[in-house]
Amino acid sequence: MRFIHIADVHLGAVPDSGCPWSASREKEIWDTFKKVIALAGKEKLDLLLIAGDLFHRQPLVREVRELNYLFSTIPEVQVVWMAGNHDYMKLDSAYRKIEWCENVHGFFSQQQEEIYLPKIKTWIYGFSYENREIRENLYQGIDFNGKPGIHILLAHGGDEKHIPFKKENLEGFDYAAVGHIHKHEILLPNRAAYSGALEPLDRTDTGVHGFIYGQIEKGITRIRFVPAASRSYMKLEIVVKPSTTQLELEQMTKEMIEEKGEQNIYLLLVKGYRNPDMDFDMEPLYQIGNVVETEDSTLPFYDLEKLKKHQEGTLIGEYLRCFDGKNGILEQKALYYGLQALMEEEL
Amino acid sequence: MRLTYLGIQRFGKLKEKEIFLEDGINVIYGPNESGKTTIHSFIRGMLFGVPRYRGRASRTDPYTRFEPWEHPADYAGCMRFEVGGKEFRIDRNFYKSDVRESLVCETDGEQLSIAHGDLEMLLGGINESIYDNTVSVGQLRSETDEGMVRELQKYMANYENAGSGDVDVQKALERLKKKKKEWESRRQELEKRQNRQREQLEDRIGYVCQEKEELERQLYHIQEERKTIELEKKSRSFVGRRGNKAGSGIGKSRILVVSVLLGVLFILAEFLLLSNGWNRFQVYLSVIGIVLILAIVVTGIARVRRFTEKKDFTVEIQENTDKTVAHLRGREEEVKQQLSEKMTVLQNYLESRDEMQEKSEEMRICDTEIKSLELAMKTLGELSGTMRRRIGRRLQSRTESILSEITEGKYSRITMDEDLKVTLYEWNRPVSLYQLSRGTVEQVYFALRMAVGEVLCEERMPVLLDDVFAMYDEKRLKDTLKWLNHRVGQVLIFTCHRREAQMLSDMGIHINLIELNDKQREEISC
Repeated sequence: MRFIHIADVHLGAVPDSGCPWSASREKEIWDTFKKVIALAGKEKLDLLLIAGDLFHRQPLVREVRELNYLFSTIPEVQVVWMAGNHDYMKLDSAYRKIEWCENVHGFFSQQQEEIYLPKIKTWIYGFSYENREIRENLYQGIDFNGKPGIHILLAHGGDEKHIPFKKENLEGFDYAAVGHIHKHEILLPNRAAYSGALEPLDRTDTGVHGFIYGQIEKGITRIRFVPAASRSYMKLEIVVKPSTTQLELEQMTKEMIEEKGEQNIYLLLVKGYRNPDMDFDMEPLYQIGNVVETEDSTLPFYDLEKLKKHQEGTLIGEYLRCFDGKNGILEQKALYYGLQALMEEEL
Repeated sequence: MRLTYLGIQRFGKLKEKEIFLEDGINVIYGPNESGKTTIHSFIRGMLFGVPRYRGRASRTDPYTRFEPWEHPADYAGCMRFEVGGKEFRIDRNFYKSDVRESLVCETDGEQLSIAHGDLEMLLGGINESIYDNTVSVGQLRSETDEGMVRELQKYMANYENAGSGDVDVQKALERLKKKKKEWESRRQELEKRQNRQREQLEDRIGYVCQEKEELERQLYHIQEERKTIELEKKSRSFVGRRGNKAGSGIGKSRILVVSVLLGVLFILAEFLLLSNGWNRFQVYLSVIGIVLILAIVVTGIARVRRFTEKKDFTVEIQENTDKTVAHLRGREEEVKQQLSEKMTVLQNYLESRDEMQEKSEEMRICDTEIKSLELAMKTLGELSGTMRRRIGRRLQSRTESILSEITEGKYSRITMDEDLKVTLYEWNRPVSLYQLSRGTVEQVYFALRMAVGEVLCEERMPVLLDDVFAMYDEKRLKDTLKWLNHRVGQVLIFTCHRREAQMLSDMGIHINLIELNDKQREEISC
């Protein structure tokens, strides 16, 4: 039995609202989802598991119809889905309003259910969210029916407000397909995993995104992560030297973005020691590529220990001493801001 | 620091003059115009150079003032001094087309660089302005007592700046403030951008709300229409029932038909009778009977037809109403679905509005910068305050003790306010500086300068006193000289009176007396 496990697709989300690439991102989320469906059909997989948050918000009937259409194009693949905390199953949810294709099986309540797929002799355990939050650990003590066949748990959550389960709760299944956390993570080796969001949704979703491909043969499960997202959010550290100029910084950024891929979306962190009479302007960096955030954590190039010794008793020396043992970000920044202002005045 | 040797090649009116200085008190005696102030300026020039100004200002700049009258290329000299047990030698050529300077440690032969700040380091960070305010003490130059007080206060204000290590705290604070403004305006820009997005979302919400209301209105109308039609149908079916009652007329016509049939039978019977033979009466009767029957049949048929037609019409209306109601129900269902979709859209928009962050990551970065700048400003402000107060307190207590010693405890307390205004206490009675004699003000000034030198300079510097004691009476001069003798370090007293040297030797204090002879003066005057 071969399957794909996806989660947190967040169809309908508009990432980085206000940024130039925002609209394409909205489309790319659908496109990558379509690609996965097509792949499942082409590879003649047995099962597609969708572990919640397929939609970013409450889906519309027409959107669910589109979804159902997509599923209808892969009639040989069994699709099992649940609603997560984002697209939770309201009483008048669009999920309830359409007639689903034969190969599609959903969980429609918050009561634990078992879906049996006779063709592949597989039991799927699970339920949907009927609320935005579930603070109880509902995955504790799932009723295991013990019947012959493959047993899979379809789950969603893992933090305080969304079913705070423990890894042990997922034990005993051939596989537990989990959603909610956007970063893919193996919870139990070959037995339970977060597939992570199919496409990254915002700047906190750095790293690679995709789905989990798995195989269950003779009671042995093997899974692996497959990258699928069309782009990534990447943190880029640009280290400057005291000799670095503004234009040089821009050139360095440009080259790094070209090297890492211009389609990606970048969070820039400029660090290192800069010339004390130099202040970098971050604004032009936004024009270089898909830059969503910049931070300048460079420090003016001063030898603090030497300065402390040399300037002992003077205002500068006393100022430095005021920050002795204070290593917070705020204090460190204040230290250098003040020092720079004082040193510039002394010149 | 101790000056040991001055070698003047040519400097102002002086030429080829060697002066050897000792630790302790050196009295440099000479009548007016003998070159005392020139020596004073030579020392300063050896340490910090002789500045040249450009343009018109050059006519009165120090360079021009001390340029030798003859052999300007020999505008040069050397000076030896001792710091931390090591001997140093400075050589300078001041001549404008051949400016040279060198600093050598004569103890270990190391070549040092004045340009790289080695001299400043030896002097313990003392720059020209501190030097002028500590090492070198001149007479208060003002004529009136009031002016002297003003100068004293001006001097105190200068001291305040020197006290913070030649750094203008106010300017540094302004710099920080400017940076803070930059970050604040960036934050505002971000906030504006976010508000625009929020407004867009609000617009969309408003639009969906309108659409929703429109659908609700449609739904209401459809429902109303359906209700009216249903009501009409109800009332019509009531009318129809009444029509059935009227249908008993059909029963009547049935009787009519029966009677017609009877009529027909009657006529047939007539015909049977007719076979027995005709008479006119019988024929007339038959014709009348047939006409009558026809009339009755025609009216009856017409009546029946009319009735059945009416019945068809009612059925048609009934069918039409049902169709309309079904259609309306269909539309109602459709609008209801649209409405529910709209509601979902609206809910989703409202959710995104609720989830809209108050602060973006970018704004948080701005906030950190702003907060750290505020912290820097606060720290710097407090620090310069405490430093000023700390130095102020040290200065005050040191000034008090010096003043007390040289006035035999008459003025043992002074206070300095925020503006560094000095108030003296004569045996605990406050006395304003304006009420004091000029001599006493000079003494306050002297005490202050001595205190400042001690408080500000790490390296104990020599004290150069240029005609400072002219206004002192015998008693106070004696006390002051006694105090100077007890002070550790080198003192250079420049004077045109013999009484300082005399008084010191009377007190049995060893001094190094240097007389600037009149020969020099004669040379100059000829």
